[in-house]
Amino acid sequence: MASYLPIFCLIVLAFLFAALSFVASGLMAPKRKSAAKIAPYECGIVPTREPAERFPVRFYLVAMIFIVFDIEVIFVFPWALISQELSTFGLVEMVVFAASVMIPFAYLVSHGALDWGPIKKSIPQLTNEERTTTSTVQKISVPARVSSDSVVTGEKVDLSAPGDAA
Amino acid sequence: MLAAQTLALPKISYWAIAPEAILIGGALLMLAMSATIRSKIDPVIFSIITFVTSLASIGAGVILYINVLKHGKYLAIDGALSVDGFGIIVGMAVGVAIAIFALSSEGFLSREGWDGPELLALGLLSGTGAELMAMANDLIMIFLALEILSIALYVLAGMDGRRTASGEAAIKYLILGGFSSAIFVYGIAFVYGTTGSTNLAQIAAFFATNLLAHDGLFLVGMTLVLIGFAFKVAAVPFHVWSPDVYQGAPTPATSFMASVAKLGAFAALLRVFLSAFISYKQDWQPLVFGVAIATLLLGAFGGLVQNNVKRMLAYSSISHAGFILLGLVVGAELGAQRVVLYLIAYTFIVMGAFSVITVVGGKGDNGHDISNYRGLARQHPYLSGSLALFLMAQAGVPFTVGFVAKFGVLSALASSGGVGSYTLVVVALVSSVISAFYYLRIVVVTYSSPVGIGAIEPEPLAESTHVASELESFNVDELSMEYSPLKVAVDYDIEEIERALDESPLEDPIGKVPLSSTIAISISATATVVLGVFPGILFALVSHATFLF
Repeated sequence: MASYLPIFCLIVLAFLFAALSFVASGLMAPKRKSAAKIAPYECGIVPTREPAERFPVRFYLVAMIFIVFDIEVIFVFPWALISQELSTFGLVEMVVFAASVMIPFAYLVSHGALDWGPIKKSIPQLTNEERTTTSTVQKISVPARVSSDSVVTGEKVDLSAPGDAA
Repeated sequence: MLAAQTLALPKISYWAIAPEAILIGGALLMLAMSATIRSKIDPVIFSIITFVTSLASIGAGVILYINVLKHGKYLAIDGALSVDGFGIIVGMAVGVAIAIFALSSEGFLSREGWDGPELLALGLLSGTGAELMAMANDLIMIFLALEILSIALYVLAGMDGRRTASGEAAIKYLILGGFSSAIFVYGIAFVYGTTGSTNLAQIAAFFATNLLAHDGLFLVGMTLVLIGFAFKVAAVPFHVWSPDVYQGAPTPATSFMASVAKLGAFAALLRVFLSAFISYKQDWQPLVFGVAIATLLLGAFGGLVQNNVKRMLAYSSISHAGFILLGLVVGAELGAQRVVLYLIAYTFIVMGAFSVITVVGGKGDNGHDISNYRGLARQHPYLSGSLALFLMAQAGVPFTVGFVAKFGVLSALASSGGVGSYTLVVVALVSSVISAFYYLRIVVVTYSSPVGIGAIEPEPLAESTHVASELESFNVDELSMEYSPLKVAVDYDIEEIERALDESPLEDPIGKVPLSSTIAISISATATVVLGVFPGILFALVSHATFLF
């Protein structure tokens, strides 16, 4: 336990240094506030424009898929160079590796990771397959009937229909 | 051309990695199904696949185990894996945890309407990491396995998109987990720099024949590795993430964190410190000693002030981490075996408890406040009874496996001798008693009167106090107590309440308990009782939980 004494001393010193720095700056530092100084992340320059806008989360997905393939290439490239020497063993290992990359990739694609443009199939529960554009348009033309129908039958209201018909 | 050269290929023993390979295969199968089948797939199918996969993994583990018993332990995959009793038994415990996870997730997925293999596939992948960690014999391999385990867990924590708490939990877990991984790798770099190898066997061999003249850098590396592990097992002072993450994550994911992640991390922690770093036991023992005391006490006191059951169990799991660290303080092979015993016991108890909590959470996975447990026994005697059993087992009540686990660790600690070890035993016992308070608090709440009665009570009570104050002004002798209006009023109120309860039963937020959850709870409860009454089975099993070197 005695060998831990230096570490303990160092911890005490670290706390003392932090505490004394706070106290000293509080006592000695001149306080002349200006808009630039009290701004969050103050660096002396007043910001003149807003930071960049948000952008779709899909870019992250594409970036991550890119990294996956990047890493696959890191493994495929050396294998391609010495595939003769690695022979069957190498081939089997590469097939297993490729399968474990490609199956999740197929999963991603089938779940719309690379689908750009308006979202259609990711909210399937909002649309009712039994309703066509014609039937729905008829019902919507009588607002009172629609509201009473949807309450009584518990049917989900077709949100996409008017827009799709147009 | 390079073709003339012959390449020295490592010999790959596919049997040695069969349990892990099966888990990955199951996860890939589910992803492939989800990618190719266009119609909606019932979560039951995914649960069954996960369950069968985990059983197959356990089966492969059993074959490996019998093989090791017959022909002895060996190193596989160029020394990266150590196929020995310790690793295989912990790996099988991981398999059991995944099997129970698959069962209790089924009800959860159906209730929440999550159709997709993500939760279960990630569970299988995460379990792969845990099984690899238990067998890994190389610091790099341990790091890779740790990341396989953790990255899946970060996603699991944030899977519930409807609750912001889930996203918060994922971010907290990701950032702190990323830090701890970085610290861990930094430690590995120091160890490699001073010993010349990342292989645990070679590090141990290095210390057997060499003595470092200046071991400062190695000590830094060792401490950083310990810190990295302490983060993963939520040992104080690196526990801060755990209550928030346990609370925010979807309940099946929480159960996974509490069982599988701890199994893997503790297995690797023990293997590193008891095989490679054993020559430096004099140096790491005080550290682990301090961490164990802090963990035990904080786990006990922290749980007292919680009102969220998931948070309470987070503190309980911190307290269990303290107990498991006691096994590391013991140091020798005995300590490792008792830790394995504790881990097996803990797996059943914690998976059982979380299976109940998953059901009680109700639709939306929000009903985890202790008030949601009020009167649970009235509507769901089986749920509340098994929850009481699991909580009693966590408290270490005799004839449950929790007692066996705590007894195993503490007796090993006491027999290791020394003033420090007795101090630890006393601290552990005291913390056990303190934490029993919050376990019992949940049990008492489940067996108290249901929520509805509290709502009916106040008015009649106010009336009767009013009557009582009027009585004082009358001549009391005129009224015999038998016909006192006070007594009549009270009797009447209770009848009223009983009748109201019988006529319209209280609204039940839980509804029908899914069959799969009942099976999960039954398996855990049976194991908790049977292994508690016949602890010989466990002691016989863990007597084979030895390291290769």
